[in-house]
Amino acid sequence: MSNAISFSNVTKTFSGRNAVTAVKDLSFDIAQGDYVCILGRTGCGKSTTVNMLLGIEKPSRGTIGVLGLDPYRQFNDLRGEIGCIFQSDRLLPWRTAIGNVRVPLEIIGRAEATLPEDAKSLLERVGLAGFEDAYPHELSGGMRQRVALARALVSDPAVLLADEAFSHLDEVTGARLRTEFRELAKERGKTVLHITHSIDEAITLSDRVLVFGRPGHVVADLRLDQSAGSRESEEIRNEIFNAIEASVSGALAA
Amino acid sequence: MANIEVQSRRPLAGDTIGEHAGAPVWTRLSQQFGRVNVEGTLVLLALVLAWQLASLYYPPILFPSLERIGKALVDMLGSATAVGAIVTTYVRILLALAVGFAVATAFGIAAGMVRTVERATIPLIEVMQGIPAVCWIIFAILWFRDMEARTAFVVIITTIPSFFYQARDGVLSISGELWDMVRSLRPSLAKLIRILIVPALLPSLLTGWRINIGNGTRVTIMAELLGGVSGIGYQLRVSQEMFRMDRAIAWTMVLVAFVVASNLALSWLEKRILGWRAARR
Repeated sequence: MSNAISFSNVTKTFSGRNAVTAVKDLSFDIAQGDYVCILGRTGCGKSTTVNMLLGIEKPSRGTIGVLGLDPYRQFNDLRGEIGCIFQSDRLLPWRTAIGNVRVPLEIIGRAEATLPEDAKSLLERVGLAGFEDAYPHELSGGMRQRVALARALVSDPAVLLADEAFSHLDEVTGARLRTEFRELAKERGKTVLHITHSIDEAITLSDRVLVFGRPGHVVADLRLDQSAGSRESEEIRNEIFNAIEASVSGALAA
Repeated sequence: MANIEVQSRRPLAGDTIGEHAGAPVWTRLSQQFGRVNVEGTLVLLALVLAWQLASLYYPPILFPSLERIGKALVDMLGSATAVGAIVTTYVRILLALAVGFAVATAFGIAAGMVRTVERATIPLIEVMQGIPAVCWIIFAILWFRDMEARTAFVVIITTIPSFFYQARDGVLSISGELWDMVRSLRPSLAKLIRILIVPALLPSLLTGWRINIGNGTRVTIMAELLGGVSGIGYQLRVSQEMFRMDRAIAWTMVLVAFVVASNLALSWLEKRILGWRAARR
């Protein structure tokens, strides 16, 4: 199976008076259709990795590929191919729910009739039937994040990114949205890169977990079996925990 | 499937009858009359009454009676010359404002988006802002022979700074999160402007118009007064030369009415296009 996402020796340094290296020699590949979670402590370059994948940050060194294209240099060629759900909903306050979902379609200039699901059906899918004309300030946090989820899916992108997308929601809403997100992504064969702080979230959702050390590099690459029992899950959980702890100890010793 | 809950509207001041029980009598009266600003209306009425009293003790050249002012206003509005002067002045103001708005907003947006443009334009805008309107009027009288060119130049040049700053600050105040969200979708520049920048700027741009309608009116009248041969400013000069305070007051009322009507039109526009913002308050 070909790779949907590839990082090869990528380094990102933010210049300035206090130059900071957020990502260092980062290398990993993600096959098409895989659901991969990136886990790591705060400041390990997870969000920088997402920004480089989105093409809004340029890597200082190394190469990044999304569907075989460089997301920074071939920025426009990936139009409509990457959907992203951010930590906050990032809805445009002057647009209604359906208006927000349609933003990607207006940008790529694609008619709704050519899509597997139009904006209205997607809002129904995420449980917002009847709220199409509501403005963001009229919706709860969970509902706004559902709109953001519909917006990420509407252009039928090949790659989905989720940057701590469900971390600020209450436990019940977060769990529901996580499950719905995974179901929708799997059903449509999307490649997902999901950034999270939560080991449990990563174990529940992903086919594979990449544990990041600081500055951003892979310290553990674990494949998961979603049909595994609780004992195996517990073992994986411990393995992830140990990898994170080892990366912390390593960073402290350095 | 969904955990649906809708946030209820925040209660607005005055939602509850009797909320101001124990408040000053003016506030209670204000509540009774709904949206009428009772306090402000009473102050204006007191001023009108004081004027009428003054007209009983001073000559009409200083304080003409309300009746005399009313008659001058009716006579004026019935004459083709006066209507022509009103139309001339307002067409001048609105056209010059439209040009100033277009130029300044384009540069303001560019300055908000590109640091180099901002660095190149800010010193010029600051110099423009520092020059008093009356100096621009003198320059315009010396530079341009044509009256229309003089007025347009002065209105455009004096309104550019505030339109520019409103646009630039509006762009700078768009949250980085919204920028990144829209940019990650890879829009063309035209779509970025249409989908993100213009809607985000609308409140600032409307504020710019509110400020500049008053500014534009003042500057146009000054330009007409000092170097004009037509328009309301010119008519004011004629009134002054003829010692007709009643006509000068009547012309001033026309000017105030224009600014008030313009603000009402802007408020109506604001309600239509910024309804989402009003509902959030």
